[in-house]
Amino acid sequence: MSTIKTIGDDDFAALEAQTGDAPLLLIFSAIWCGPCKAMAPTLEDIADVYTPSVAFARIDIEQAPGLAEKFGVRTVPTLVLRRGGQDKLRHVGVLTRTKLAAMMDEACQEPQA
Amino acid sequence: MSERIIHPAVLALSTALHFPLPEQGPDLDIGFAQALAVWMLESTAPWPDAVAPLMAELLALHRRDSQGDVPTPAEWQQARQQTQLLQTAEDDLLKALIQVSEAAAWPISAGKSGLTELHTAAAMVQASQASRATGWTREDNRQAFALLNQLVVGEDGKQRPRDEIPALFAKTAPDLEPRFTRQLRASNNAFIQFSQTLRDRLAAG
Repeated sequence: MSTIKTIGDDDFAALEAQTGDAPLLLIFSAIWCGPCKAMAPTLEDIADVYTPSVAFARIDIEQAPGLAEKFGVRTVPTLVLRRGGQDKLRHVGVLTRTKLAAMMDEACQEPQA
Repeated sequence: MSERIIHPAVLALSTALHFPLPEQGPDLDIGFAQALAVWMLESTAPWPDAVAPLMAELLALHRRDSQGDVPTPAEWQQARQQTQLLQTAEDDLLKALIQVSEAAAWPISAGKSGLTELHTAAAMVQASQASRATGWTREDNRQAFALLNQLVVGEDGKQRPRDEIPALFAKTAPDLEPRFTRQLRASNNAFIQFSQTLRDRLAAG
C-alpha cells in the first residue's frame, strides 16, 4: 500500500503542522499527466524507504487548485521539498530514483535552523 | 490452479506499457524481472567512452544478481555514487544513457520501479540512436529548437496556435524541416518499437 497520502486544499496546514521539523515532499501531479504516472512507482519506492524520516504528500492540481496556486505550480510533475515551513528545493519534471534518493539523503542530513 | 506469480516490478511495467497481464500464464517472478533488466541494459550498447566503464559495471551487477551471485548493498550504493559523478550532458544520447545508469543502479528486487525506469531510459536511448541514424546532429537539433521556440510566439507577442507551427516551420526552414520530421518519426517509431518488444516479452513470459 502506498505511503503517499493525497491531500486537498484544506489539508495542507494540518499536514505541515503534523510534519513539524521533518522534511516534507509535495508532489504536484494531474490525472492526465503521463510523466506523473510514469514516475509514480519511483515515488512509491522512495516513500517506502524514507517514511517516516520524510513526509510525502501528493496533490492533484485540478482537485487542489488552491495549493497549486499557492506554490506557483504551472507544470506537472513538480516536486517541492519543504522543511520548517519553507521551500528548500523545487524540481519540475521527472526524476530517477537515484536522484530522488540523493535529494532525500541530503534533506535528512541537513540540520534544521 | 495456483495463482500466477507476478513480481511488483513486472506489474508496474505492465501498467506503464498499458499492457494488462492476464490472470493465467507463466510466472513473471523476480528471475524474469532480473533477466528483463539485463536484456534492457544490453539493448543500450554500444556505449560511448564517457559512460562505457560504468555501464559495463552495472550490467555485470545485474547479470550476477540474475545468476544468484547477489551483489552487496555497498556495491549498489557505490554504483549509485558513480552515476552521480557523470557530467550532465547536452547530447541527447549521453543524457539518455546517464538516465539508464541511474535507473540500473538498484537491484530489481528493491521496490517496484526498477523496470519502469529502465524501460523509459532505454527506450530513449533507442529513440536517440534512431534519430542520429537519419543524419540528424546536435547542431541540427539546436537550430531546430531555437527556431521553434521563436515560432511559438507570434508577431503580436501572443502564443501562436499550436497547429499553425508545423507549416510555419516548413516555410521558414525548408531544408531543416523535412529532416527534422524524418528524425522525429524515426525516433518515435524506435521508442514505440522498443515498448512493443517489451510487451511481447511480457506476453511470452
